Amino acid sequence: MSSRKKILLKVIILGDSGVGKTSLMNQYVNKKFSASYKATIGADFLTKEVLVDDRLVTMQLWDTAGQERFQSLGVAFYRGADCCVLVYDVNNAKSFDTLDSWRDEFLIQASPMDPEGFPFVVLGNKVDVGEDKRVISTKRAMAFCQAKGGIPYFETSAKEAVNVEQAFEVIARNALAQEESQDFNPDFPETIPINIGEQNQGCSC
Amino acid sequence: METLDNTEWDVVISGTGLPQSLLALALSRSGKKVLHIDHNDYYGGDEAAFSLTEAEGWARKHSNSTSEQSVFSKAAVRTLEVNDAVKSKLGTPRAYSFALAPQLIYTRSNLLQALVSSRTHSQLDFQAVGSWFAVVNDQNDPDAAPRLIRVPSGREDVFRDATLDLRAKRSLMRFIRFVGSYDEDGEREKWVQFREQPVHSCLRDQFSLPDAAIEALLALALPPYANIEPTMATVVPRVRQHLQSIGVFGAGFAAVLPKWGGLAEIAQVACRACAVGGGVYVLGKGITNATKSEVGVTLELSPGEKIKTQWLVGCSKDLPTSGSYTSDLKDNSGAIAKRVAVISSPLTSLFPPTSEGGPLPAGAVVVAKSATSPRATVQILAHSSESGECPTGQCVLYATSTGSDGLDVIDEAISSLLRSIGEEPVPDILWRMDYVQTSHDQSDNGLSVDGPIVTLPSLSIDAVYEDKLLNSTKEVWQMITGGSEGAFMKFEPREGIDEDEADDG
Repeated sequence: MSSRKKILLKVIILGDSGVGKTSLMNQYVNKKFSASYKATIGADFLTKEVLVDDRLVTMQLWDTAGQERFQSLGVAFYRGADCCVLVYDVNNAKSFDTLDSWRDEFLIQASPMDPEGFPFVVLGNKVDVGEDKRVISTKRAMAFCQAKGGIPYFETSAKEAVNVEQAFEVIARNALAQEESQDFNPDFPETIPINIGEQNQGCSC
Repeated sequence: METLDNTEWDVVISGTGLPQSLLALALSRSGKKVLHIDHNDYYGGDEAAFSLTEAEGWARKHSNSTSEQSVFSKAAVRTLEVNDAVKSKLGTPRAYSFALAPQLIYTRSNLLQALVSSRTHSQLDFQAVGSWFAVVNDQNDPDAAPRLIRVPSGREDVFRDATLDLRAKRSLMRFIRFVGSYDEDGEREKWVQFREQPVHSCLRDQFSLPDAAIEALLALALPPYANIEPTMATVVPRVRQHLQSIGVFGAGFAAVLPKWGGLAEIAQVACRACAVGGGVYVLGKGITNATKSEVGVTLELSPGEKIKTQWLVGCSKDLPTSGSYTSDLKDNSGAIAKRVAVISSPLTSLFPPTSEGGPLPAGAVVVAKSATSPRATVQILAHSSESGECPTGQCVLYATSTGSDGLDVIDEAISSLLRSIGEEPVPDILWRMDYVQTSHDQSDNGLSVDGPIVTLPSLSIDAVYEDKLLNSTKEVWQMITGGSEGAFMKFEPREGIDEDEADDG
C-alpha cells in the first residue's frame, strides 16, 4: 500500500459577498488580481503546495462559490475543514458585523471535535482603498479577535498583494497543526477511488 | 437580503433533490443563467440527510398523512429511555447524519462515471458495501435465536461456501453462467420462456436450486416491492448487475455508498458545481404560481417576487402545476415503510473484510424474512460509524418493507437481526425514526414536458440507485442546451486549476 499519505489541508474562506474572498485566493495562488467583480465563478477549489517547517503540504482553498449570497451553503461544503478564514472589508461595517455569525455558522455546520481550539484566521481586506473610506479600525478588529480566543488577524489588500502571503503562511501552519491534532485511525476504511477507470474488470460471468 | 424580483433566467430548477441537482451539475458549464431554488431550507429534498435534531424536526412536519407537498407521512421518532446510562449513549445531535436516501450504488453505475467525467468525484468520499446477509429463523423452533448467514456474493464465495453441498454449488454455477449470458443468442429462447415466471418456482424447477440458494440470490437482487413474488425478469438482471460489479474499484465489493449521508452528499456537491459555474442558489424559497407565456414561464416565488424564465424544471411536487400528482397518491399500494435505527453496538460482525488487502467495508446489506408472514421481506442497509453517520461504537440501520404491516415486520426483523449477531447483552435501539414513503414509481415513471415546463422523474423506492435517473437528466440537458449525447457531463479541468487527481497508489 502507499507508504506515506500526502498531507492535504482543506481551508475554507467565509465572509459576506463582495469582501474579496476569491480575489485573496487568486492573489495568493495565481498572483493575479482582476478588478471586475463577478460573484464567484470559476473554481471548485484552488490548490497550492507550500512548505511548512520543511514539510510539503497541499493546501486546498475553498470559497463559497457565491452560495453565501442567499445564505445557501450546504453542510457538505464544511466537511473536513482544517482551518476557517473569515474575511471582511475594512470599508464595510456590515461585513465586519457578520463575522461573528459566520464563525457561529462554521462551528455549527462543521462541528469540529474541539470548537474552542479550532483555528480561525480573520482578514480585513481592501486596505488599499484609503483611510478616508475606512470604517473599521484595526483596534476594533483586534478587540474582536481577542474576544474570540485570540484569532490571528491580518489586514490585507488582494489588489496590491499586501500581507496576503504572510496571512496564508499562518493559515497553512495552523491548518497543519489542526490536521495533526486529529487522531489517525489505522483501521479507518479507505475511501474508494472511483476514478481508477476500468482496468480491473469485474468477475467474468 | 437581495431580491430576485424582476430577474430573468434561462433555467429555473425547483428542488434540490438528486434528480434536480444532477441537472444543475450537467448545466454547470453550459453558459446558461441558472436559478436553483428549494422550498425547504436544506439541500437534498427527498434525498436529504439530517442531524438528530433536524430529523426530529422533519418527523414532526411529516407526522400526518400524505400532504400535497410531500411523499412522506406517519413519521415518528422514539428515543430509548430505559435509564440514564442508556440515554447518555446517544452522541451529540450533530454526530449523526441520517440519510433519507441511503441507496447503494453499484460500481458500474452511470452515476459514478458521470461524477468522474464531470470532475466532481474528488469532493466526495465513497466507501465499500461489503457483505450481504440473510437472517434465518428456525422453522421448527420459534424460540431458537435467529441465525445470521453471509450470502455468497460472487463465484469465489460460492466455491468457499460451507453450507451448500456440491450439487447445489453446481446448480448455482450453472445459474450464474445463465445470468451472464441470458440475453445472448444461445440463451434467448430460454429467457423468453423464463422471463415472466415467478422466481421461486423457476429457480427450483428449471435450475434445481435449493431454497437456501434461492433466498441468497433474492438477497443479492434486492427486488423492490419485497412483499410481491418477483419474476425472473426483475431478478436476473439485478443479480447480473451485482456479479459484474465485483472488483471494478478493488477486490471484494460490488457497491459503494457515499460517506456522510447517502445521496444527499452527491446532491450538494452537484449544486456547488453549478454555483461555481455561476448558478444562483436560494434555499427556503418555493414557487407559488407559474404562468406560461410565449417566451417561457413567469413565476411567482414565496414572498411575492416575480421572475421570468425560459425553462422551469423540477420534480412534480416542487412544481405548482402538478395537479394530477396528488390524486395518484390516494392509492396507497406504493407505500413503503421505513425505519432509521441507531444501534448501541458497532455490530462489527456485519462489516468483516471481504478480501485480503481490500478496503474495510463501511456498509452491509441484510435481508430478513418475517417468521409470522413469510412473504414479508425486510431489506436493511447497515452503515458503520465510519460512514460518518453516527459516533464510533454505534451503527445505523436503514430498514424498509413494503406492504400494509410494514412497520411491524421491520420491528420483528431488526429484533431478529440484533439477536442473530450473538452479542451479549443484545444491542439496544438507542433512537429510531419511522416513516412511510409513497412511491412515485408507479404513476410517475418518466419525464413529462409541457412546453417550457419539464417534470423530472423522482427517485424510486429501490434500495439500489438506478441508472435510468441519469438518463432522464441527460434528456433534459439535451433539450435545454442542444448538446450532443457524448458531451453529457464531460468537463475539462477548469482554467487555471491544476489537475489534482490525488494519488491513486
